[in-house]
Amino acid sequence: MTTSPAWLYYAFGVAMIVVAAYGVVLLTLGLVCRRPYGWDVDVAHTFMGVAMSGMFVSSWAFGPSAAWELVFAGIAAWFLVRSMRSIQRFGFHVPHEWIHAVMSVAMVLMLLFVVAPVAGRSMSMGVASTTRIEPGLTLVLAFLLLGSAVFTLASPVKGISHHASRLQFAVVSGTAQSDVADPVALSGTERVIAAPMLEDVSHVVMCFAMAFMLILMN
Amino acid sequence: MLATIWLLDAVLQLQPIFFARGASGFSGMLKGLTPGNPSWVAHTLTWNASIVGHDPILTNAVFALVQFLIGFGIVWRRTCKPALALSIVWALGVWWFGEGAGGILRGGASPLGGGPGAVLFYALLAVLLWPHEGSDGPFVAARALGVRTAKKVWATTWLVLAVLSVVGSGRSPQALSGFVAILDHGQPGWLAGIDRTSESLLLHDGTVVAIALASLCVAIAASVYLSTNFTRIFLVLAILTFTAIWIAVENVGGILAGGATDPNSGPLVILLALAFWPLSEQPTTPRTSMSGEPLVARLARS
Repeated sequence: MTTSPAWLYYAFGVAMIVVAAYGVVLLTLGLVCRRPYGWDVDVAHTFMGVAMSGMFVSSWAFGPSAAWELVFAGIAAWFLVRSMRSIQRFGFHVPHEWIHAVMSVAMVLMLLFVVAPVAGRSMSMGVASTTRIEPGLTLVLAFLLLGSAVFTLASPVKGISHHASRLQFAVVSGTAQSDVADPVALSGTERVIAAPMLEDVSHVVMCFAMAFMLILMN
Repeated sequence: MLATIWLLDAVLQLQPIFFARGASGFSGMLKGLTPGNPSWVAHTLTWNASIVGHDPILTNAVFALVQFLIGFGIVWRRTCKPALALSIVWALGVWWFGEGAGGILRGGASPLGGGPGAVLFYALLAVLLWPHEGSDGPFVAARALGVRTAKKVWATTWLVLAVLSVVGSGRSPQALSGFVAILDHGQPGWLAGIDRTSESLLLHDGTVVAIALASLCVAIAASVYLSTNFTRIFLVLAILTFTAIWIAVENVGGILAGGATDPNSGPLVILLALAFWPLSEQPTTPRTSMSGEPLVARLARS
């Protein structure tokens, strides 16, 4: 087994913790300001950030793998249902919930196929599962995630990774203004923290890290 | 799509094997390109390999960072041109130092094996997809270069591929089957099965395959000068052919077995073909919301 720089895995681990922490901050802000949209993405990013940091740095991992698998299976089901509802409601399109479902499925697969990390060593060095994910599937998933990162950054709609369909619904139909109007106005600092661009960046970082982990599993 | 492939390259560059020292690491892979090349070319390859071998962690991290910057740079309008310019310089550098000039100088640059170097297609695509404020052309690649120049680029590219298919070891059954054999270790079962078939086909009928590919490349080169319907048919043929080559001969660039730095030429040739896909002649109008205002504009305001 070749060695690889530990700092790289620590860097990805730290990035994942930051994304998770940012998810918690957004969730808190969402609760305080009673924002009805985007909370499910924040919950998913928080769980994904914590679980992924444990994959990159084994000493940061905690909790039984089965519990994490259940969590992400539940999140995947939630986003799949939301995707289908969005398609039923607005006709055929690719709802943003879909990529979050893909990410959750990727998490389940990574957890299923990676055995418990070796203490003190990064997870990728400790990957020792007797079976591995079908490499073609990991490549497809990695490509989808990187494509999502590119799409998110290139989109003229900022914050598209968190609540695009809600905005779209409100704009197109004009019937769901309560969905997009914040009942409690955000202060200047809060507006900076919850800036759509930052939300997108957290999604992009998550996509990139997950794609890297998937490629490592080949 | 091009940005996504660059990001994939950045991720692939971060694989542990490329940070390793010695013959099993990245520098060893680079040194492996020297046999068969003229001594002055081999000297530059060895020089590059020695730099990478001296500090593989730093050099590989820089390589990954550059590809990361190109990938994300292409996405933003403000950084798109600098990123594409960087990608051209980077691609040419990698083509020489990382791919040994694509194997051209040792007579082994068959398109079946990714010749004349997958990374050259990145540079070509950067030129063809260069942002241009002018009106839409009949196909995307015409926007930057104009219709006539873009068609000349297309024709030249495919004629080069045709020539490379039949010169040097390009028509040698042993060499062609070797492209598959060298990559078939560690592949998943379904791909290994395809490999066995393609390896056997190339070993027995490699010359016929090479001539057939060259003939197809000539036809594809000429197709942009034919009617739109014929162009579409040959573009589909180009896409299908290089999809098959990418899977059955290039082994998805070797990514599935680990240790690949890029997906090889297949996806890039497909992207090139898409850049020449005839656009609808119907005037397009922006998608509007119920109120008639462009949807994107309203969403941006929201």
